[in-house]
Amino acid sequence: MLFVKKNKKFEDLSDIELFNLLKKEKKESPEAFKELYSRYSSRIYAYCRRFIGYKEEAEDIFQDTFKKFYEAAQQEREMTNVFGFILKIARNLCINSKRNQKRTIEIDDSINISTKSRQDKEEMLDLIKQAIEELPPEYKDVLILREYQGLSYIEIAEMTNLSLGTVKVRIFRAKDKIRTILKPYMEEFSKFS
Amino acid sequence: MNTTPDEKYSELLNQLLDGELEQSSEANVFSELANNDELRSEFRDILKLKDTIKHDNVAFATPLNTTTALFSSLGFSSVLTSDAGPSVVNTSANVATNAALRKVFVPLITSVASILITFLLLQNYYGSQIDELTKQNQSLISKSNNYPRTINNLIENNQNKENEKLAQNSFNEHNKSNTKQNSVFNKNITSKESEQLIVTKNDLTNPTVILTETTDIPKENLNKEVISAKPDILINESNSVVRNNSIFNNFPNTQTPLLPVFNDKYLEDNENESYFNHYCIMFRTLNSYSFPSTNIESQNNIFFTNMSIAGLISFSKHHKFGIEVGQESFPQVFDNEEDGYEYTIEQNPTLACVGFIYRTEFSGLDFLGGVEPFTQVFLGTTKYGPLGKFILGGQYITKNGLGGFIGLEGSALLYKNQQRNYSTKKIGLTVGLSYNF
Repeated sequence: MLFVKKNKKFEDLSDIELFNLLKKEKKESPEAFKELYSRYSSRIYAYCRRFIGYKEEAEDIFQDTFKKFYEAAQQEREMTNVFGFILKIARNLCINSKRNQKRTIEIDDSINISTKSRQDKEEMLDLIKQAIEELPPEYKDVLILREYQGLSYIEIAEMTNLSLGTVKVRIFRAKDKIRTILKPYMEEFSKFS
Repeated sequence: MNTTPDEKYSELLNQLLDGELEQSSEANVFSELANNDELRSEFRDILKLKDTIKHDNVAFATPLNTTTALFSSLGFSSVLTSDAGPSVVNTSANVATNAALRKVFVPLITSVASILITFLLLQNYYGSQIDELTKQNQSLISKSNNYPRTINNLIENNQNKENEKLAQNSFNEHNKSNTKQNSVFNKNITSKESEQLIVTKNDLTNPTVILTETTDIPKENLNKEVISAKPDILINESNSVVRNNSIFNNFPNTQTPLLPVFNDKYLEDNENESYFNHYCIMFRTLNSYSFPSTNIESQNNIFFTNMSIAGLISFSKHHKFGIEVGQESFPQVFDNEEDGYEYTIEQNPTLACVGFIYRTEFSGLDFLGGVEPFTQVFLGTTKYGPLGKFILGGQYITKNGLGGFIGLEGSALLYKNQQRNYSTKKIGLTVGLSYNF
């Protein structure tokens, strides 16, 4: 990506090669970590941000994810999918955090759709974010993996240890619930679009 | 899980839009789509949902402070050289603080710069008062201290005592006659009458007594610096005073300005004069709207943003050429494809820019009351791509060389991402100060 100034030497290395450089006592370790971070941080952050909802908490989990990843990389282990590994760490941390979380967010019924003052798409996005917040964690999880991470159904099944059929159903249910929550707003938006 | 026929098609429709539908089922879904209004409505909703999520840039914008904290906790000395995500989101508190600082800082730095320049001007010009005939006395007294020193230097170089005496005598006689004549005229040093050039302090206390005639100095008697110098003061019948700056440099103890004078009259009256020794320093700020725009706050360099400083040299009466350096924020909106998804990235980096400027000033338009219209073209570069600017404005320059200007500025930054070209255009108001010398 143009705006990420990368170290050319590391930019050309594969994920696995970079991961192997993270081992202890290696001088290249920090640079290799930075390169991997620049490759995947935005997607991992997106997962945490949308799964957790609360920005501060998402940031904490995001940081913990990369710390755990770095610690794990110091140990001897075989790695085949670096991004999947980091995402798995993030996912576990997010799910654990949600389990301990008692808070719920409610959609604000008084949300004012003001097409004059803000872009339709931005308002729609705000509503979708809130609707995602409303989803049960199991639906939210697969939806984010599908829509934000771009994983295929099979990859999601592997990541979540679910059957392919369950993944398909959960993704469908998640989108259906969002549609149901947004139905009144969708109609409102369709008038302007 | 039991599903109704409608639900079944909804599920298949979702799989179709996710690219996961088996080929054998596609025909059924398309057929149902053609006949089922509700399914078509659902189709549109899902497309809208997916499209909107694609634009959820905030989710992908890793905050810089989070990155910094992480790297710090891992013991890495430095953070990434640039943001890992396409844009960085500030906390609302930071945004408010930065905005407040930015609002205060620009006027503050402008005020400080103005005060500093004014102070320097007053400090340097106070006491010289070259434009006021009523105060010429003081000016001439101060200069008179230097004439004997200059001549003494010449005499020392010459080491000719006879010439020294002759010169002093000749000058004293000469001076007496001048006192009687009470006249004002030009003086030029030529190479003939070197012996006659001595001025005493008393002679110059009378404002009407000025050196009276052409005085020549043999070349062998002259200090090299003086040979190359022109007369420092020319007082003509119109009582206008013109200084030659180079000779002031030969009188270190003179109470003359450290910063020399830029005088329009001087330029106008000396058409053949070389303009290459006229310089200009400019400092300016910019307030602008950009196309495209973004709500993202510029993250870096909250100070000295949208400011620039330039140095110019005149190469003719109306034309200047120079170099400008500065920092400006350029909102950027561009598409970025990653892992088969195309994201629209918004960011607002502060970019350092450097380039050449060409300025044309239309002086001498009396009906504008001293205001000179000008145009300025900037061609330069930033780390993301080439940058061009055009300014149309007006300036006012005092006789002391201090000036102010205001203008309308248009600029365009060209940049590239993933083989696609983009641009950010800005239009705004620029204001600034200049010092001409």
